[in-house]
Amino acid sequence: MGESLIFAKDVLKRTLELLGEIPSGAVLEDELRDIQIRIQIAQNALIQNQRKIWVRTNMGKEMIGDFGVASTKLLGTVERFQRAEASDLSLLKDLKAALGEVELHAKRLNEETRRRSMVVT
Amino acid sequence: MNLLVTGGAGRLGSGLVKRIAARGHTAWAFDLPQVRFDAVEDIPGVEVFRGDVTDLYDVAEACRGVDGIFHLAALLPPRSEMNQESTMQVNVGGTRNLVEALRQRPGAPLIFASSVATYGVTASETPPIREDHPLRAHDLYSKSKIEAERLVRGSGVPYTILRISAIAVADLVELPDIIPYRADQRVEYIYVGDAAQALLSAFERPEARGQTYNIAGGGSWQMTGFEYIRRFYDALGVEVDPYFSEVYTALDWYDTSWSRFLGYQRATLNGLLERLKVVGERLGLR
Repeated sequence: MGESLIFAKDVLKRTLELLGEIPSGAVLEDELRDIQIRIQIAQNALIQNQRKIWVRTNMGKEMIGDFGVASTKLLGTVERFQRAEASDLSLLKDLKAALGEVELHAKRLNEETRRRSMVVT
Repeated sequence: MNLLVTGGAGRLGSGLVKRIAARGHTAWAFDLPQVRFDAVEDIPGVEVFRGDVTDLYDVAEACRGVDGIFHLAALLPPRSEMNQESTMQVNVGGTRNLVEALRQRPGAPLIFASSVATYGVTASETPPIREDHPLRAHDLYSKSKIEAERLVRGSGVPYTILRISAIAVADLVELPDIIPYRADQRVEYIYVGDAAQALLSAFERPEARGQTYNIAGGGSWQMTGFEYIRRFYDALGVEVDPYFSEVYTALDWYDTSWSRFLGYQRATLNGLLERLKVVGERLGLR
């Protein structure tokens, strides 16, 4: 498994841990749960694709690298959100935007696997 | 001429669309709206039509003014095995819609991409499998293709049916959890460009009307499943640990002597392997 893949997985894991530490008053509970689920789905995309051959290609390494960058950005927004004393709507907006970017990269991983799937008819 | 290719954005369909355009015709690439048309968009002579073969309105619109249809759109395994209703709706219902629309275009032929899966599991028989071999549904996909073939034959529209074997591409193909054939099973792939050529030739050769042909790679492509997988991934430069199906599936060696006049068997297995080496280097796998 490549270093960038391990890095991206660790970043998402840390992001989920931090979200779990956010006091329930800081953000609506349902909203927090929704964000956690969305991150877990992105995390699953990474796990499901980690052993694919295409991940070992130059292009695959680049895609995983981009996923890691987006994940780091997401972690940064969660850290800022956690530090904020009260619910800050602009921070929440940043967090959701960063999450949307991670989801986009997760979608690309799944799409690449689907595109390269073996079809024998 | 205006020629419609259903499934026109797919691996085989996009190759066919390019060949049609290269012949100076207008190729209409018909595929689902959510599909990426990158492979065919912006090519001179190619028009994109986003629609669904199960939608009568879409099909009627797409078929307006066409001089022939290549019907490749289908739900393929493993997706075809998940829901009988959807598989029949797309693979049989979609074919029915196209046949109905073609009735408004007298003389325009339907070139139907069927599959060697219609022969069922033939591992216990003596190869090669000929076109007159009985058809035996062994899964939803083959059932749908057999029904669609019957529909095409009885439609009254001019047709040619091609039973196409497994398609090989000169690109990295992901290894599935279970390879859909046994390691010791006879397999015969066909290069994607050759399959596209067979479809185009079937349209261009009037003597192919009303006929059904096996379309497969030929002698150099006949081997065991284990050998094919080993050579494919060796050429790419990838070490793999494949897990093969434990049961025989519907792939075998085929008699293509009857279809050879279509002049499509151009690529050899060694040719594919050479291309895969280049791909492996480009991707950083070698």
